[in-house]
Amino acid sequence: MMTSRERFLRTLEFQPVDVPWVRAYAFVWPETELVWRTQGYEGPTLGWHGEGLPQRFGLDELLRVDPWYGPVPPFEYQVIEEDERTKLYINHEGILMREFKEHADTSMPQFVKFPVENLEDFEKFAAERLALNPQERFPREWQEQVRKGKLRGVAGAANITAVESEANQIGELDDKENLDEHPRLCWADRWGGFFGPLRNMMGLENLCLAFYDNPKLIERMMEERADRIIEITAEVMKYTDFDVFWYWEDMAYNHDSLIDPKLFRKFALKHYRRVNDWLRSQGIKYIGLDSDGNITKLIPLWLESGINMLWPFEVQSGMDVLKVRQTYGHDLVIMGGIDKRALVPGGEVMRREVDRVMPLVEDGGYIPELDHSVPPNISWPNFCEYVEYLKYRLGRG
Amino acid sequence: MSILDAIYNVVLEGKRNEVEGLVRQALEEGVSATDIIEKALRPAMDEVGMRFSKAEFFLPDLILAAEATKRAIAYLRPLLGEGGVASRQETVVIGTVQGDLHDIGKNLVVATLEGTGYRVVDLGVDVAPERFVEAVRTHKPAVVGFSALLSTTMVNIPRTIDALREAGLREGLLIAVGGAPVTQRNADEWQADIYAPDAGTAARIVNEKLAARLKNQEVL
Repeated sequence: MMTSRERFLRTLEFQPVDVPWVRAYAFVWPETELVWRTQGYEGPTLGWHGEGLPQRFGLDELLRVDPWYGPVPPFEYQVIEEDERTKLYINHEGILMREFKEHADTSMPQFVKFPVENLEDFEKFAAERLALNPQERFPREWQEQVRKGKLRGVAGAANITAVESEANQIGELDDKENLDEHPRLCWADRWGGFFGPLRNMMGLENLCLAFYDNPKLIERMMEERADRIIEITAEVMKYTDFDVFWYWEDMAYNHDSLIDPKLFRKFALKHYRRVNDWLRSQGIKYIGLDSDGNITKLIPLWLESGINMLWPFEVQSGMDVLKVRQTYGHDLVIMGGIDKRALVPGGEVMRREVDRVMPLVEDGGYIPELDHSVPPNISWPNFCEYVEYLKYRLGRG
Repeated sequence: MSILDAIYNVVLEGKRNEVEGLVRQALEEGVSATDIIEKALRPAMDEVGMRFSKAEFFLPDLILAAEATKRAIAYLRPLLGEGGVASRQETVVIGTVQGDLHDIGKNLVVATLEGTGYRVVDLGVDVAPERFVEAVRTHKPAVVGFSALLSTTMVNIPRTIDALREAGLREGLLIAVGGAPVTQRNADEWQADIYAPDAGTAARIVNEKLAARLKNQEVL
């Protein structure tokens, strides 16, 4: 019988497995749990990674070992103004944003001002917040979790304040010896990439204009990101190994790439390559990337750079994992691609959607799961029905 | 190449630092402000929108072209006295519906509408139906546009349309809807007049609908 880690790695290698590796979902929106509790869910606090769900359903886990790749020390949380429904505040990344007080996680904020407008701003930001700063970036708590094999998907969560608040909920693996049973991921969430992180610093519109008006700034920011990704990841490797490195870009909308892929390639390709070559030199065979939206035109660039895994393939944005496999064959490992919207009605609609991706499971190099976080309009009974059906189709239930 | 062609080209290429000089040159050559808008700026923005919709242009192209046109319009505006082009420029009231704070798409539509020469009243984000009603009463727009990013907030589009109807303001008003989750089918269900699938298309469709309405009025 294979361990979960062996099963995962063989799947990535398009090799036969005893039974398919199954995760079913990647994230759960916080509001979803509130709704589920009114629909019969009685388990522990779920958090973004759905704490307790893998054990409940007998699913596999991709353990995260990443530290925070973003601003350290984080910006001080500062409320500038507020009314009954909204608050305007500076977040941990230095972004001035307006957000609803309730259900902030499931609504998009209004981004009002970003910390970087020019090269001078960036150099200051980089010197003060983006340096390795190992004492803060790799705190004792993180080191302890890695040492004990306790990491279960919260160490590098998008919001560093959430890291602290969720720290007490981290589930402990049965014992240290079992650590190698689970595959491990180092996800440079929100700050590992050459578009998404720059947008975090400048805002979308200013970043788009800077590609034309201030190419030196773009070049400098990308160079710094490549340097830091390598430096931080090298530090991670002093504490633990991992199987997959993951970028975060989110650089497409529902129709297309946000920026001309040719223009992006001109700037970013060499930086991707430098990081990817270094990762490969360290034995990291699988390099993935997270970008929502329609990424059709960006896939060739990422493949060319050495990235060989992608997530989440949002169906509502026109992504079809079967077509992607037809186009790129075994050069690309696919994760996601099951239309989350099919779980809203559930039943036959859901079963048809799960059935649709089964040829890829047969083909290998595919992790079947939802095409992004579980939203609150998917009911708890429908989510359970989906997980059980997926397991049944995979011979796991 | 005529000066109008030159203006058209710099907008298309997003060379916003060059547009003002060319507009000045055109005025010196005796071209009217109206012709600069109607024969160069508006067609250029139409073309930019078209190329964006066909995925030949990307977000930066749209932003740069809109910025170039805005600069040209800002330069020309003092010359557009009462009875000039300004009287033919309809007002568009626009906002992100209640419950939705996201405004990147809406801001792009504002930029392209302004770039095309419309007077735009931007109500911002999280706009309650009663604020839309009040703005329509105050500004008497030809078009009111609603944007929503999320499927959970787009339900406030038909609510706002209902509020306008209940206030007796629906007739004669073109209603435009858009945003990531909004489809033509939604627009039809809500009896909206204009559906824009993306920010690049919005200004062009508004132009077409207003032109069609003007033609109908002339026929009648």
